[in-house]
Amino acid sequence: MIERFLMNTHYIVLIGVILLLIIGFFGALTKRNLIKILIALGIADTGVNLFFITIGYISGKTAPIFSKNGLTASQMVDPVPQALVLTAIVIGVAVLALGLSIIIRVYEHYGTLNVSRIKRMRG
Amino acid sequence: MIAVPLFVAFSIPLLGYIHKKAGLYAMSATLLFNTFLSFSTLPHAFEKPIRVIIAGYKPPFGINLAITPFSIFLACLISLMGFIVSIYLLKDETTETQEKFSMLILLVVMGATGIVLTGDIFNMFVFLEIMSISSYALTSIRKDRKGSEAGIKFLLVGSISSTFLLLGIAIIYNQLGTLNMADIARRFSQMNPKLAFAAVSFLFLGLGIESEMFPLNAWAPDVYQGAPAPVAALFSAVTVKAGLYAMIRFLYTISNNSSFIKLLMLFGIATVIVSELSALKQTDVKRMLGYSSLGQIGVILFAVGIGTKTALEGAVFHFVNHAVLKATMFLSIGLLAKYAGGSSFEELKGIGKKYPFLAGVFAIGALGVMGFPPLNGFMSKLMILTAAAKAEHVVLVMLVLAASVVEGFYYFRVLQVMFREPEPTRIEKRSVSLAFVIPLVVLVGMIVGIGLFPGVLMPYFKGAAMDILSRGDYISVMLSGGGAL
Repeated sequence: MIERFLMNTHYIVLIGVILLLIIGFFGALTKRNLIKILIALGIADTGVNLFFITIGYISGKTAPIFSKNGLTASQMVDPVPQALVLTAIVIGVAVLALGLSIIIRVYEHYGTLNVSRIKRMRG
Repeated sequence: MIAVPLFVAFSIPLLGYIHKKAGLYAMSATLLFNTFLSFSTLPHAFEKPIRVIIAGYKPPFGINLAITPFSIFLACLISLMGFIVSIYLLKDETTETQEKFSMLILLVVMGATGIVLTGDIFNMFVFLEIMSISSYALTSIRKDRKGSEAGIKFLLVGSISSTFLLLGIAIIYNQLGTLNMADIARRFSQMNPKLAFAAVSFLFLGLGIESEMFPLNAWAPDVYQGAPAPVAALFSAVTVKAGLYAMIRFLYTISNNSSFIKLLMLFGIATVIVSELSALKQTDVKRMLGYSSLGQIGVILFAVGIGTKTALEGAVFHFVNHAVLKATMFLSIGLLAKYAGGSSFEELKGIGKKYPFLAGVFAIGALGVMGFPPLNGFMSKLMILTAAAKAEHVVLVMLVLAASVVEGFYYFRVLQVMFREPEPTRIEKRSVSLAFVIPLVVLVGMIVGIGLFPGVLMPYFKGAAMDILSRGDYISVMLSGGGAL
C-alpha cells in the first residue's frame, strides 16, 4: 500500500516536495503582484520536478552515466525520470520567460502589476 | 506529419530574409501538405490502427505513435482547420510580426497533431506544452491591452494545469514504471487504488483546464475576446479539441474509470448552463462567442460522459460541427469587427446592411450553432439528445434544450443588432479581398453540406466511437503490432 510507495523514496525529500508545492500553490492563489504569482508557479514547478527525480531513486545506486569502467546498468538509478525532468525544466523556463515578457507588456498598458486592478475585460 | 511542420516552423525566420511574405506561404503550404497526408492515411487507419515505431525500440519501451481511427480523424480535422485559418491569415495585416505569427501557428497545429497521434503519455505532455506555449504567445501577439491581459491570464492558468499533469504522470510512472499508454492501460488496475485515484484526479484537473470544463474555464472568455480573431478561431477549433482528445483517451482507454466519466457528464451540463447564461449578459460579441463556444464544449463533454455508443458518435460529430461553426463565426466576426472598429454591440449596429455577405456568413454560423435543421448543428445535437434520453437522463436533456433556447435568444439579438438597426454613416464600404472570402465560403459549404448529407461522414464517426470504447483492441494492437505505415 502506501508503505511500498514510501519505501522507494526518501522521506526528507518528500516533505520538501510537499512544502514546495504548498508554497507554490498558496502563493499563486493569494498574492496580488503578478510577478510574485509567476515566481510562485515556478516554485510549484520545481516541487513537481523534484518529486519526479525522487521517484527514480534507488538507494545505493549511482548516477546513470558510464563514468567508471565496468559500471553496468543494474548499478544505476532509473534514468528515465531524469530525462523527463530535463524536459520539464526546459518547459518551465520557457513558460517563465514568456510570462515575464507578457507581464512587461501588461505593465506598459496598465501601469500597475496589481492583479485586482487588471480587470478591464469583465463582463 | 509532425516533423515536417516542426522543421518548417523553425526555418521560417530564415525564409523571411528572402521574401517578406514567404513565411505565410510556407505556413499554408505545410498545412496543406499535412491535410493531404492525414486524409490519405484516413482509410488505412480505419481498417486496422497503425503503430509507428520511432528509433527502433518496440513498445512498451520505446516511444511510438498510435494512429487509431479516432486519432487520425481528429488529425484530419485539425490539419484542415489549420489550413483554412492559414489562408485567411495570408491577407491579415500584421506588420513585422508576420514571421513569428506563421511560425507560432504552425507550432500550435503541430502540437495538436502530436497530441492526437502519440501513444506515449509523456510525449503527450510535451506536445501539450508546445501547443500551450505557442498559444500564450499567439494570444498576446498584437501587443495591445486586451491581448496582453488575456495572454498573462492564460499563461498562469495553463502553467497550473501543466503542473497538475506532471504530478499525475509522476504518480503513474512511480507505480507502473512505464510511460506507454497501452501498457499503462493494460496494467492500470495494478495500481494502488488511493494513488490511482490521486493520479486520475490530477490528470482530470489538468486536462479539464485545457478542455475548458467548468469551473476551470474562467480563462477562456478572456482569451477569446483578447486574442486576434483568427487566433481565437484556431483556439476553439484546434487546441480545445486536442485537450478534449487527451481527456477522452485518458479516461476511456487508459484508466476506464466510470465514476470520473459520470463526473464529466455532470461538469458538462454545468458548463453548458453557466456558459449560456453568462453569454446572455455580454455586450461584446467576441466574448459572447467565447461563452457560446464553452457551451458547445459542455455539450460535447456531456455526450462523452454518457458513454453509450450513440452518444459517443454524436460527440465526435459535434467535434466536427463545433470546430467548423466556431471557426466560421470567429473569422467572420474578425472581419466585421475590423471594418466596424470594434466588436461590441454599439459598434456593430447595422453592419449587416453594409457587408451583407459577411453578416450572412455569421448568421449561417449562428443558425448552425442553434441547431436549425438543414445545417449541421441539428444532426449532432439530435444524436446526443436521443442518446441521452435513451440512457434515461431525461432531466439533463431538458436542461440542454433550455440552454439551446437561451442560445437562440442571444444569437438572434446579435443578428437583430446587425441587420435591423439603421445603416451607420461612419463606415464606408470596402471590398473584401479574396483570401478572406475563400475560407469563409469553404466553411459555409461544409456547414450546409454536412447538414444535408450527414451520411457521408457517419461511418467515420462510428469507427471513431468504436475506437474510444474498445480498450482491449487498443492495447493488443499497440503492444503486439499494427499495420505498417
